[in-house]
Amino acid sequence: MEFLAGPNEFVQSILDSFSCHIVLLERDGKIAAINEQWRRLCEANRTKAQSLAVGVNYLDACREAITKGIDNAEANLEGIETVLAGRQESFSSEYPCHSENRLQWFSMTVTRLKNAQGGVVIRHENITPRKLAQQHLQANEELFYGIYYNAPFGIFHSTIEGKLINVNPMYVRIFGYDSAAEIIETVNRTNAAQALYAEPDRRTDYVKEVLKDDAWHSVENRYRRKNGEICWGRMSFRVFYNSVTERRELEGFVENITERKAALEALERYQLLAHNSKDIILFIRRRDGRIIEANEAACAAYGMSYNELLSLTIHDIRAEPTRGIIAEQMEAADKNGLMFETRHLRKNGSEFHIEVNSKGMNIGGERILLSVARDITERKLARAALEASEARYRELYEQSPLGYQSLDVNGHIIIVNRAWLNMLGYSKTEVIGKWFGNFLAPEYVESFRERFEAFKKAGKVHSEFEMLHKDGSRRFVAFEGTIALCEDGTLKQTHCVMQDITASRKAQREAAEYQNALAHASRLSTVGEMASSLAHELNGPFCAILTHAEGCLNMLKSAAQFDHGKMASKVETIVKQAERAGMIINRVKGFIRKEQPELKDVEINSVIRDVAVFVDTEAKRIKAKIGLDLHKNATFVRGDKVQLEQVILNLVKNGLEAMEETAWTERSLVISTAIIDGKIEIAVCDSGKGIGEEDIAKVFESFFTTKPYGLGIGLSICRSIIESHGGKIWAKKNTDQGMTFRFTLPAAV
Amino acid sequence: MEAWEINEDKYEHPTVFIADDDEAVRSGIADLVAEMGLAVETFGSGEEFLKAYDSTRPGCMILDLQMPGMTGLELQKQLAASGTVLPVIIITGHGYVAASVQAMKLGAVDFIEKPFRQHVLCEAITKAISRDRYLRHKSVLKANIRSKFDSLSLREREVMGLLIAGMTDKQIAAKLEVSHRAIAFHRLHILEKMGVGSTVELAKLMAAVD
Repeated sequence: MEFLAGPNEFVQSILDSFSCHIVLLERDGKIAAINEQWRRLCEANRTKAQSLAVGVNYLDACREAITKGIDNAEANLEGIETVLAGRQESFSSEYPCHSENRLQWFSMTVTRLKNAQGGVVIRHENITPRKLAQQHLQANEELFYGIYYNAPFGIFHSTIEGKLINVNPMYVRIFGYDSAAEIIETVNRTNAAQALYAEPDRRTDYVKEVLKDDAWHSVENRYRRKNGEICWGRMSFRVFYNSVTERRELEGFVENITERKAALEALERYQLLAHNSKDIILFIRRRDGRIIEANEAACAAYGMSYNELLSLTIHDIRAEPTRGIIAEQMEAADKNGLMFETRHLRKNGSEFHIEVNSKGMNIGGERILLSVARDITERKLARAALEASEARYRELYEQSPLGYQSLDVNGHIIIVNRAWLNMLGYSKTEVIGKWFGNFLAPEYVESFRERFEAFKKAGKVHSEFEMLHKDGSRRFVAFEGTIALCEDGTLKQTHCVMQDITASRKAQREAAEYQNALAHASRLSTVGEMASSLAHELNGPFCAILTHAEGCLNMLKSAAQFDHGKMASKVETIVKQAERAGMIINRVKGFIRKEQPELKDVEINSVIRDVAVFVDTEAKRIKAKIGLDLHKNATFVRGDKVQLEQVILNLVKNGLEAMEETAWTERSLVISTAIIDGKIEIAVCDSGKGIGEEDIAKVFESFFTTKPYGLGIGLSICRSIIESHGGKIWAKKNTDQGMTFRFTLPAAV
Repeated sequence: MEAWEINEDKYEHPTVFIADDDEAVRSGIADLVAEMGLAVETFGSGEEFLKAYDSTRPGCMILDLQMPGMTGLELQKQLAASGTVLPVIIITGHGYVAASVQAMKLGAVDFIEKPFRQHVLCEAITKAISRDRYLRHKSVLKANIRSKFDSLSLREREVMGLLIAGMTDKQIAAKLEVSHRAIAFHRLHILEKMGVGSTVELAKLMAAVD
């Protein structure tokens, strides 16, 4: 230990030059040497000063420190001993050694002396600055990491191509993944654009922008979450040079702005609503009535700009006379909401009617009245017009010359008009609420009950009743009715129009009588026409009678004997011809008869045959062929034989006349009977010149004629005869030539 | 009897033809006609009559206008078309004015309205028969003159025409640019061939056939 009796000055000066504290220990732990720093430290730390001088056993000092409970002492001791023992070449530790008012750290390095004697060099260094810096850095790191970890926005670090390097938990959450590892792994299978962008192509554009400089860039983008959901995100990022990987990389953060965007959109929508609303929307401050918000419609309605409106109060835009009750109305609106009508002023001083709906609410901490108002000038005008129109209709209803009535579902009178009351001689009070049947002639009451029910079902009715005037006299009344339904489909009321037809009924009867007389006259004129052709027909028999009679006289006057047989034959001829003449006359007689039609079962085919014989001469004269096509089952009809004969005769005559201008060879008239739909149909078909399309409809009308000297009542008489028999008569052009007149008669049962 | 006069005596056996579709009337009239001593034939239609009739047969016709098939008017037209000059008496019903007028225009000699007295019929028939006689003789005469005329040469006919017109021989010669003498010769031949004695007679002869 000579060496250690004291290091020589040179070695001591080396030792002293070190800034750290150095102590040399002998094998047994005795301090062999110390340096300047060590000595100074001991002096500073008075508690340890003596014990740590040369010659003291450091190990003992350490053991003492252990018993004092000083941290690290045990570990340090152990370390020193280990090195002393040669088990280790060196040992180092860092340990705190705080004084009363200062934090200090030291590092201890024990190194084995490589010489025969052994021993160690222990070096203590004050590493407080470093430690403090380290702690500071650590604190910052922790802080930073806390922010990174707990940030309410996502933070990412990625390659330029879009491979994720690092992400924070929020990022993971924003994209709906379960862990950073998962999202990184998933994304990096492809890249950020493919995995996370709703529109992958966008990323290319963003990256291009961000690479232009190293500033922060911000974009709003649509992202795809793990579950496929699309959300809006705001991404701020920049490119930076990573000195570790020696390449440029991206770092940035992402905020989920979906909600914000939705809120913005909603706001936009409401703005649009208010902007486009045709109604005036105003926000009015409760406390002073100041207009704090107005929409376009309001500006237009008041004729002011937005700023002008917002400089006014509610008082300013109300018409003068209405201002008194503003306070009340605002109070009511604020409490429960209020709807009212009032008048507002425009900038130009004109007023307009307005309907206001106002409600109080809290907005931004203030009590605000939200008012929605509508210019009701037009509505008021429309209402006035409606009322005027209603008044007119009421007037029409009341003044109408036709009677109107409405009955309820039970047949009681709801309302009648003046004409109704006048028709029957009642006053309104005597009638309203009463059952309609009370006003009918007794024999109609029962059938009214039935018919009313049917009317309600069918929805319309047309009928005729006899009603009783208040004075007891009868009135014939014709009804036309419809029904009105409630929204649920039940009967609301009936609407009926009624007309007193007593007079017209009488006229009808008179007309029928007149028609009969006319028919009679027509028959006579027809007879007149037929008489002349019959006269022609009579010429024949009379000529025969006369010639034969004179012939007989000749025979009788001559001196010679006459041939009896011859005379007999001549006289017989006379007789026959006289008979023939008689028959001809008889046919005419049958025509002139009493007015009242006699209803019997008439064999129609035989009537037709009679007529055919009747017109035979006439037909022969014009060389017309008359054909009969009579159905054997068309036997009996119920009617008047003479009238029916008249009709057929008229039609046949017309047919023959029509053929007078047709070629000789083509004159043919066919009378046929058939059974169609249980009725007997008679047709008279000619091959004459026909009637023009436009005239066919008129041909059955009275006084219509195509003949130069015709009277034009023949066919109209035919029609009334056929119709009074319950049949129909009509005419049609034939496809080839001429006309066919047809009529139907009900078969006699 | 002069050449231009008609000999009405040689007229034999006239027949009255009756056409009427009414049998009773036919037979009645037939008996009355028979009573007059004339032959009678009856027909029920115009067609029947035309089938049987031969225009050389003298007589007259009683024709009903109002017949079916061929009417009286049609028959008249047919007879006229075929050049037959049979006198026709129309019988018709009362009042057929238009048709009756037509019939008269077509050459009927009379019309009678039915019914008629016997004497009316007889008078009409008598008139008709004489007419028939006259016409027939006239036609024979015509034929005669015709054949004589045909025997004239062309020149002779030419000269005859001028003679009848009243020109003298001298005038004719001047017109035809031949000699007076030639005309004189022609005249002689013409008179001889035509069987007349003078130019005056010649004129009467030619007038008789027009």
